[in-house]
Amino acid sequence: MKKRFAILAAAFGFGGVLLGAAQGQAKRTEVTFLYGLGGELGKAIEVMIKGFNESQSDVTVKGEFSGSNYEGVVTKALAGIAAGAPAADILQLEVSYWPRLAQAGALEELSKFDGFKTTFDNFWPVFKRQADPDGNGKVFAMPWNNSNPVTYYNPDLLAKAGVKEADLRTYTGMREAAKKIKAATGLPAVAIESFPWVLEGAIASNGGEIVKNNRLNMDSPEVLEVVNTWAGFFRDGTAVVSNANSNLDFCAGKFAIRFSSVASRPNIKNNCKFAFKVAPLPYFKKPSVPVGGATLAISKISPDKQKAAWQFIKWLTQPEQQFTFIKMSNYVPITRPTSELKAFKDYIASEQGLDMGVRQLPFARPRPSTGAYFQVTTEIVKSLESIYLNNTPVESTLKDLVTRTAPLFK
Amino acid sequence: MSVSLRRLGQALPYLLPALVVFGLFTYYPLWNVIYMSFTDADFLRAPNWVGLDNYTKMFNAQEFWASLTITTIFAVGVTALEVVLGMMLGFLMNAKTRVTPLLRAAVFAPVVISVSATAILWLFFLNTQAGPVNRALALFGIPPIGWFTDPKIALLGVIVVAVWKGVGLPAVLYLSGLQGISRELEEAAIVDGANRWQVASRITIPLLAPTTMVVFFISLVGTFQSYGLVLLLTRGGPVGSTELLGYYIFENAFQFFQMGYASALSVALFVLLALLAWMQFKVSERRVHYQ
Repeated sequence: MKKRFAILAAAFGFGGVLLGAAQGQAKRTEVTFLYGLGGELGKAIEVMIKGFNESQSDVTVKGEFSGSNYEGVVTKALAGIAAGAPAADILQLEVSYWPRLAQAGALEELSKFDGFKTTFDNFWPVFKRQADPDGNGKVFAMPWNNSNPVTYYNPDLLAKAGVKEADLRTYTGMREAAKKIKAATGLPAVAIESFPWVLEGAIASNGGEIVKNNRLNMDSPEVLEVVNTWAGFFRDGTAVVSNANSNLDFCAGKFAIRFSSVASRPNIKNNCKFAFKVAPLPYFKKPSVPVGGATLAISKISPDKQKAAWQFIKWLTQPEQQFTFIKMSNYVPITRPTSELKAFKDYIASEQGLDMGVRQLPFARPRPSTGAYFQVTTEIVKSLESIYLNNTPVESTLKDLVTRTAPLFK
Repeated sequence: MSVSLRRLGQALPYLLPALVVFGLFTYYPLWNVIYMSFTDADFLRAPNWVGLDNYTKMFNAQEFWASLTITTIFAVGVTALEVVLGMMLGFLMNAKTRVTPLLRAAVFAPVVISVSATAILWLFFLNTQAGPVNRALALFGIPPIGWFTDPKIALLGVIVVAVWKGVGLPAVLYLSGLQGISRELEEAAIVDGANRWQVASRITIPLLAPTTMVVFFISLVGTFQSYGLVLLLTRGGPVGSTELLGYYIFENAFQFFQMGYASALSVALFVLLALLAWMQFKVSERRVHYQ
């Protein structure tokens, strides 16, 4: 009898343990995270997700790659909104994408969550302005993988032309240096993007703004001077329009200078056989760089899931997690405490140019945050390509661009 | 109950699964797109009825006409090349040689390669600065060609890639067509003194007319709807020189959130393709000779 009782008790006990374990598992709230970076950066994101899932027992984050890029995240987010069910609980949204979704009420406001203020106050001022452009305290997307553009150059090609890094400090100086490089090597000196990211920084460095008073300000004297100078590179035959292969071309020694994100460094490093160097982005009157990269936003979901999603976002912004992510991706630190970590300082001192992104943060500025800007950039690209490749006159092309895009701001 | 109604009643259970699938995945979306084309839908808020505004905007938009012209050039270019090259490859694949199995596999392989892989491959091959094609051309003193970066050349670059990716299917269709032609007809012509060219031009190619019509139509419809390659190779640039209608629709729908306008563009594309289909049927009724 006693033996039977003991077996029964043991069976109940074991069952209880199993049930308890199952309940423990069930207690974890599962949230999905849709991100738009593939390749090495996608792997870095998955490492962060794994790290978070192993660091606690309340929340499980399931990562999902959009399959393409940041646009893929928006495409899926839109399809989710149309279907009445969010595509994912957490969305990685490029800095110029989130305002449109936020205006439409598709994103949760984040300042209501526990610990928001402490987390937000730690951000570098430029990221605060990017996340809260109106300054009204309402935040719909938290900075995360952010960057700024730098100048990558091939020191061997510069040396052949007798050009020094200091000659690349301003755009006017760079134009003269580019002529020398072309003369000495027969190669185009620089790859310039028709996408207006670097251009935004150049315009700001000349005292202008690309969007002002809810209109495209590309007919202003400051902008005309910038675009005329950039078009000058093409007229001199010293520039090519950069494209998807420009990193490979740069590494193949097909041109000497490339403007690209600090986060391009792992890719450039993997492909270049020579020891490339990194210089600050050139300027006109005063240094200025635009912020790039993406933010994290929470879809309209249940309070439990919101809380779980916020826990993940908050974890990602902690200095230790930031540093782990930066080592894999070369993005810039978004918070001051991360920049002040000794391990981070040692890391950026370990290679030439690794510190450039953080050195440029004091004069970084947000990208235009109006909902229409994304569509406007498509028109800007067309006009700039027309100037650079079809040799159309700068002033009339930009005037036409401003007129053409005016209805988009209404 | 009439006989025809009774027969319909008997047939319905067999037709129902297909009807449900068509209804849900073809006719309902089609109806929805037509409805949305009369609204300002953006998926972010409830759509408002705007009547013919989207169609007016479309007919007045310079970008629409430019994109329609580019699409027509692209579709005609790709279709012509697929018909000609597909037929030539079909003849080669029909020849009984040692390399025939290898040739068949090589010709069809690009069809099953993903669009993304195709784009990566050709962005490398046709890279202006360091691509193998331009390097090879440089050996003959030809300066670098901006296959995807020169506004005058970029559409040709995309056509080359589209034909490489798509020609395998027409080639296989032509192979099948060739294998369906009776050898007796060709042998009779040879006995009557016809040479190889005369056999091909007077007997084989005319007998391939039904296949040519199928290839022509499949290729034309596919190229009019195409946008994936452009998205990955050029994003419609440079200077909008490769902005196909399919990409223009994608751009308006998913980048600019103008679902209503994109729906009107989709309806226009649908009408255009329906017109092409009608013309194809008319032509095949009159001109195509079956054995």
